[in-house]
Amino acid sequence: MTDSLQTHKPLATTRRTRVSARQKREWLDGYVLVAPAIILFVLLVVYPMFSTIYLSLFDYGLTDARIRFVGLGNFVDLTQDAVFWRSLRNNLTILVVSVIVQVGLGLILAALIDRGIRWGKGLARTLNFAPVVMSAVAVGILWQLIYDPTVGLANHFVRAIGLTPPTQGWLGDPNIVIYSILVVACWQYTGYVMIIILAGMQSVSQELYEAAEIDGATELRKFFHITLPSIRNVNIAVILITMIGAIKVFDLVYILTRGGPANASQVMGTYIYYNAFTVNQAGYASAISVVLLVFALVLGFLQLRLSYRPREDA
Amino acid sequence: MRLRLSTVLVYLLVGVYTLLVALPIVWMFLSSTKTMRELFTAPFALPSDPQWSNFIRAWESGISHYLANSLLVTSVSVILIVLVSALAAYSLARINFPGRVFIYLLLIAGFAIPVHTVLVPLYRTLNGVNLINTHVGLILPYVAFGIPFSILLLYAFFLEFPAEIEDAARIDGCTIWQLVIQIVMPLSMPALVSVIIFQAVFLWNEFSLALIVIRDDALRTIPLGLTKFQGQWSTNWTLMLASLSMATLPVLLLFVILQRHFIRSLVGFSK
Amino acid sequence: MIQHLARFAFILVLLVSVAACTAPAPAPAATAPEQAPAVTEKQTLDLWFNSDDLFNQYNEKIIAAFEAANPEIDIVYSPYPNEAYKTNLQVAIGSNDPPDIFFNWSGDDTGRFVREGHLLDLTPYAEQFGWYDALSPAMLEAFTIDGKLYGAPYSQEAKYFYYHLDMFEEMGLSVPTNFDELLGLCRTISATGMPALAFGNQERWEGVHYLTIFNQKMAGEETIALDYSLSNPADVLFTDPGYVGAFERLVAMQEAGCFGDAVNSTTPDAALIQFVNKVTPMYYQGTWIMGSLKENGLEGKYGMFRMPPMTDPAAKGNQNYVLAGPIGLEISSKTPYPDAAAKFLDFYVSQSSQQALLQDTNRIPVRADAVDREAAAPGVIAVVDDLAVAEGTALWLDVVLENSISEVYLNSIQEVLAGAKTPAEAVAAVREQALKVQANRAQ
Repeated sequence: MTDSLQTHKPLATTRRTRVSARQKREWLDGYVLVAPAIILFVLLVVYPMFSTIYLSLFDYGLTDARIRFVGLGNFVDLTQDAVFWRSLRNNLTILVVSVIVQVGLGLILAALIDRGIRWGKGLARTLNFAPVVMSAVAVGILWQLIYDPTVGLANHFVRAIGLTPPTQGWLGDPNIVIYSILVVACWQYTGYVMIIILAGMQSVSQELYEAAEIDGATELRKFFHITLPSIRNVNIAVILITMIGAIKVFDLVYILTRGGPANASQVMGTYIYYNAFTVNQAGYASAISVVLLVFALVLGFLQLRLSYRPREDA
Repeated sequence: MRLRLSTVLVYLLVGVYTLLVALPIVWMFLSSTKTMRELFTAPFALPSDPQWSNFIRAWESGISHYLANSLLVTSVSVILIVLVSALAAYSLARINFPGRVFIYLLLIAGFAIPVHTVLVPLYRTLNGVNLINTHVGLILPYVAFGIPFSILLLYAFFLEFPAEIEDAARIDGCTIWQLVIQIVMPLSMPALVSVIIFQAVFLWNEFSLALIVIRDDALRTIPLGLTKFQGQWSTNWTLMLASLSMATLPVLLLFVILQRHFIRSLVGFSK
Repeated sequence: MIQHLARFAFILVLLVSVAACTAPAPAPAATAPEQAPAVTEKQTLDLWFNSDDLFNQYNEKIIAAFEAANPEIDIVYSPYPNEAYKTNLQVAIGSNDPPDIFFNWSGDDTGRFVREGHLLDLTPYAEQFGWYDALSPAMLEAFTIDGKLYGAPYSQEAKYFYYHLDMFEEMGLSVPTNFDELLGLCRTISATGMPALAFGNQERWEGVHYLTIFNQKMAGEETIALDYSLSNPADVLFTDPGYVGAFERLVAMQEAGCFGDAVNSTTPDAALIQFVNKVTPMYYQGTWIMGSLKENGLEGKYGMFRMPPMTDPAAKGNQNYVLAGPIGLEISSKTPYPDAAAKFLDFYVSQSSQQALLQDTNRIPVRADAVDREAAAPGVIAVVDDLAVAEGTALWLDVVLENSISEVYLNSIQEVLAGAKTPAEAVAAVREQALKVQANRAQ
């Protein structure tokens, strides 16, 4: 490396005026560098996305030659499809409960670990985060064994604290199956939420706490008046991430129940798969995909808005 | 250290909760070397006579080549993601060409698209070019879906890349390719490591796409391979748990060793 | 500079291979004609199977023997667990790279593939290899559509009640001669605190077997034939009271204590283990479990009986029917090596293979010359004899019905067992879906 030259290029600002040959070459460089990403992305993400919207207008099957234009017929069918409504309701149940439990519990745990304990902080962090790096497939199979209706750990555990396990089984009772799945989801992801919040808390200025201590504030008071306001953005981000995860959920439900018993735990992701690949209704599956896409894009847009904002903290 | 009731309570709460979280994983590893009988009679005792044969049987029944496939698919995908995203992110962050903002927003917006919404067209497309049931058919969409988030992260990093180094390199006669690949990328290791870990963990565990693209047992990745055992060994719990342990161990070990990097990378998602 | 160009070229090559995606009508993959490969070149055939560990051992043995006799053919064997099989096959069959040879059920599972043009017509091979003389005509008939043969049947599967002889003796029980006695048996056994039958309906197909035979017994074989094929007019489709009656019989069994609690979250494998471990004295299951029963040391220690006849006047069907159906191997119409594939099928249904099938796996062969009454397991002989006196077979509901109607049936059974639907509501849901499919087909 030679000495740095102090001729700063003005970065990322608009430069118009006449376009020199050198500038044109630079532009070309810019396009060439971005081209591989653009080509892959357009072919395998953007094009399929529009393709999904287009296919949602057809009665179409993947394994046969059937393809018939039905306009908005698939969407009309959706409104009368009890299973679709159930899958939507399940997604919303997962969304609401996940936000309350994962963010609520994550916040409490993070606060306790951040301010309450001194020894074993690292250990608590490691153990709570460990399920996050496991695949949903491994987690699902592991919990299927735990939920076994005759010899599973869950039954032992519930009996040990003096309760009766559900007679139809944790994953066999249409009324509780979605909550059984939620327990697993919360088990896996609360640690994730906790770590993000903890990272946010650790960047809160210690001086603020010290000043409050001089004023004789209790820990609870400090939590509500210093910690919470300081990590407001982190909390919003975490809530959005949790919501997006809840809308997109597929692997865990597929592995634990395949959407059963009798569609009781169907979510949009599994219902798309079921229609496209089990009952050969790919057009209908595309219509459900469009609904899922709308949810995901709205939430994703909110998240990007939040993260795109220039921020001063690291 | 003042020992107050509230402090004890806090330790107790955190401790009990953490124990509950760890329990299933501990049980998985403990049980994987037990006999079926011991699994049920003493679920949390150490195995009295470790049955390593469970691991050998699982290894020979497919885990070995599932691991190899996952390793191959994940590493090739991650290398391509990093390369393609770094080139694009550099261009977007540092070169002021027309249409830059539009391209950036287009790429970034893609990260909100769940892969389940495009399963049908993706399947059609891959089938159309005979890439169904091939590793390439899995790697290409993995790379495409990995681009948005990687660019988001790298773009932010490259914005703050010191211009002096760039200019110096230019004066030395570096081409733009040399500049990005030989100078900028090596100097951006922290950001690249974040991208690598995030994508590697995600792809190692990816299931939905693998489910529709891969069929041959010989081509299965770990998550897909585990579903075979789910059907095959649903009553042979010790074998099932040995498979789960072997499938989970590599990523858990890496996590424990590279914990700080893991957490920074995966938490980076929230930013 | 060169190396950078090369690097970029590499990326470009990758991308061009993707760019081909946009081509609307891709060139067909399997254009290679049969004569193209040189004699020395190996002909590789993908073989997909729905099978468990035990049956895999048998298949691998047969494949090894076939490959030894035909060194120019290489069989790549892919077994799938039962539940994953149907979906995997359905998706693969429509792709450009389907398996060359695959396991399939008869009924609409085969019928649909024929309608969609995925199956190779095996009639010329059947004539060439003499299958029409050697294999059971009824089994061949099940794979014949519009006069053409589409599958080589290799085994007959039938559904029976299995019971532990020693447990029945201890409890002083006897084999029921009609359905009401079966309910009585359940009441007696459940009074002792154990469920009478193992029942694992998590994957939904165990439940549909009960409904299959109940539908036949209650609504009658003529009615169900017209309804299942959707040939009944819309106003009578699935309106026979026998369908509701069938669901009611299932509920009656549940109320009599035939089943344990968590049936919808118990896997068939777990149910088998319960029966093997004598957690329950009985199990209603297909003949395919007889291999496992032997492996678990139960050979000769269990008895079998059919679903007993219904005596009430509402039952319109022939009460001498057995729940049974053949399974077979089919060949994809896209295979580059149809001759080699057919050769494998012929080997698979040969006398020696069929004898090994019976010996190794306790499965029921489809050729009479493979049944050695002295050497075969008593259970297998009992089934062979029983099938001979049956006046007809009821084929598994979930493979007979069009896929989406079958799905409604499978789900409704789970719901009825969970108390979330009444029998009448369940049949109404089936009828609704059947009408939808019928209307679609008319278009």
